Amino acid sequence: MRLVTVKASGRQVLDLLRSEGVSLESTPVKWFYRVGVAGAPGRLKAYHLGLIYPQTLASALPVLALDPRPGDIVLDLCAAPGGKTTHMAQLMEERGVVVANDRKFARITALTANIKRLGLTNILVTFYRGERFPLECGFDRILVDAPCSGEGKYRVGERGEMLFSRGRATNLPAIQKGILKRAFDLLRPGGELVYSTCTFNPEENEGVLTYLLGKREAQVLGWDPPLPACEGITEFEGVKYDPACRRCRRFYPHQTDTVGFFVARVAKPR
Amino acid sequence: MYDFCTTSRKIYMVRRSKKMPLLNRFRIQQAGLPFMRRVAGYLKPTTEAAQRFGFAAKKNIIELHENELKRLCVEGEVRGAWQGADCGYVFLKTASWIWGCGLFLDPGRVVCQLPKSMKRWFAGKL
Repeated sequence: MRLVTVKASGRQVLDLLRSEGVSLESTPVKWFYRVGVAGAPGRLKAYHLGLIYPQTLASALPVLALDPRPGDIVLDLCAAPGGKTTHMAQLMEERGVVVANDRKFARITALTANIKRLGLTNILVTFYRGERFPLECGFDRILVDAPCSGEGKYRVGERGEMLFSRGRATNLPAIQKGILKRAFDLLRPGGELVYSTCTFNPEENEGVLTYLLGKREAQVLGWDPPLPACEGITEFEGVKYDPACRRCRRFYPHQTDTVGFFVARVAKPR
Repeated sequence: MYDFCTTSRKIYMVRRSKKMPLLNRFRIQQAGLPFMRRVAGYLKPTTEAAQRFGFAAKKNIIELHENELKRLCVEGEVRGAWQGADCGYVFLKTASWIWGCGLFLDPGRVVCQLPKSMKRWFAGKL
């Protein structure tokens, strides 16, 4: 879980959690702890006081790659339920603006509930389709945590139960390409975006990035993450991807003991 | 520094930013934190605002033992001899944490104004 230091100091939150019998193990990521707790985190006082956000460690990685700074104007194009959005607002010390967008109204409800629970004041919530987000202003940084097949979550729970469901009819790479292209167009010159998914499927990762590199003058940037990672791949089952995809990072559950993730940093030239 | 935005029923509190005018053209669903709500002609602080900024209050705070707060959530109101609160909305505090608002009526009577989710959670703890 992530400690939210908006209403209280990290020390106060840790003391409260320990007083409720929660065992905490620190991680390489600031404010993130692996926790041992009987039952759901929602039964804790700290949850109802808006002092914690239950979240996997890997979901911090796209935010750390984006590195939002105080004063930035940031867009989270697929924001709900708000874990990464609120993490960005916390890193920005609530200075600057985070625009949190999602296309599904039911998910917007979860997003606004989480923003309210954590007491954050610098987030604006919008309700647009990601690929049609209005081109009204240039953002400093944009997070595209795209809808994906979620293969990285297959190893969830102590028994590693599979969440795989067959028969998906949605063309996810087409949706992801549309969203990523629009995100790139929404960046100001010199701005940066992060494209992330929680899947291993190269079609949804390097394939989408290669599409963007073919359509726009984008630059893939390297990144030194706080968890063990592998390079992006440049070929899979006979399909070749842009060599710049090597600079992306793949996070595998057996190496990180968390959800699998793909993270790519992309810059728009000045 | 903060700015306030209003709708017919709610007042939202938004962290001031020089870049905010750039975002005026978007259709905004929610801006910042719901801060106050108009209830029967009075302004009531939201639970979120109470939790976030209640620490700065100098008066109209009612300190309860955790068991009293649970009872307030379950029964809807509690009575006691609290000092230093005027009639109207008050902050409910246990130990060093502000949980939200109560409505302080005749001397010694507090009506629960906490959200349903919190009431259910407290009821489950009894």
